[in-house]
Amino acid sequence: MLEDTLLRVRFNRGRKDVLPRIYEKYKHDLVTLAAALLQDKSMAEDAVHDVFVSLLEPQRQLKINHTLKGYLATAVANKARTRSKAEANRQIVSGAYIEHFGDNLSGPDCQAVFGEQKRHLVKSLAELSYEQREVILLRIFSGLRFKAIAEAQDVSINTVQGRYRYGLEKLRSLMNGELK
Amino acid sequence: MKPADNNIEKQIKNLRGQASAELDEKLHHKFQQALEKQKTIPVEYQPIQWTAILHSRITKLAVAAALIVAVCWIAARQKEAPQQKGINKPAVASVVETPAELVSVISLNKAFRDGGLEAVEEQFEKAEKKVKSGLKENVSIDELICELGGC
Repeated sequence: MLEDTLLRVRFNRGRKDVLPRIYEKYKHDLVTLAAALLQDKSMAEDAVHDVFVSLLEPQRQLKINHTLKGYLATAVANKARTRSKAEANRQIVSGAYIEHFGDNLSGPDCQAVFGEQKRHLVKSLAELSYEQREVILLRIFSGLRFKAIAEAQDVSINTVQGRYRYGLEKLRSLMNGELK
Repeated sequence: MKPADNNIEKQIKNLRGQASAELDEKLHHKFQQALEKQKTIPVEYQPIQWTAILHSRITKLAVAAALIVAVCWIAARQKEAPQQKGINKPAVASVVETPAELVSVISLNKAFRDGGLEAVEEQFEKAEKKVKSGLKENVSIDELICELGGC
């Protein structure tokens, strides 16, 4: 937390040399978030890449006022939304995405238990609308507040809370259906 | 919150992906390029720094203070100038010769403008000396009128 504050302050002062450290610290979380949103590993990595490249631009005087993690998660979600709109037809879970999450599981036992559950979760997430998926992932995975999500999506908090509630309900029913 | 929701939340929190080595390589290369560029051409940042300096509150205050000091100094010098001129510059006495010319309105006026009342007084003293030096014990009225420039 203290390191985050230090990195944020240095970045706000125009120190671009802190970006490699920020990237190393959050790269896995950001790629996971983007992959869960876009359901495509290469597109997810492209979104993360774009975010860091935009942070590198010397003419842009960006100021991070909130938490570093929240800022990056919002930036990746925004990039992912733009890419998702461009690739609106891609709603089916691709093989690359499933493999992506399978990569991190170690040991055959672990893969047998959690691997299958994650596959269900990923498939169920893909069934949700993009907005619902974004709210759920930003709230649960990235830990953003509803207010911050509402600002990022440019909608009211009530809308965000509604999307979260209905999304979670749908996710639960989808996962129960899968388990049955 | 239902137990099933807790389970889903836990599962979502436990999602773990990995950034590929390709992305690492690409971005680290970009970071390096950007940092090298920043080191090699600091001239690019100079205008930005100058703007920042010029727009800073301290600079504005310093400029205002310098202006006030300059204006005060010029005003003080202008006040001192006539007095200094009076001290350094000789009065009309050196130019004019006769006592009549020394006490004429034009020369007195000029003496006053150049050196103030002191110069006028000094000029009167000079005229007095000149008159006294040329004064004879027995002088006729005609000679006196002639001496004062009347003839």
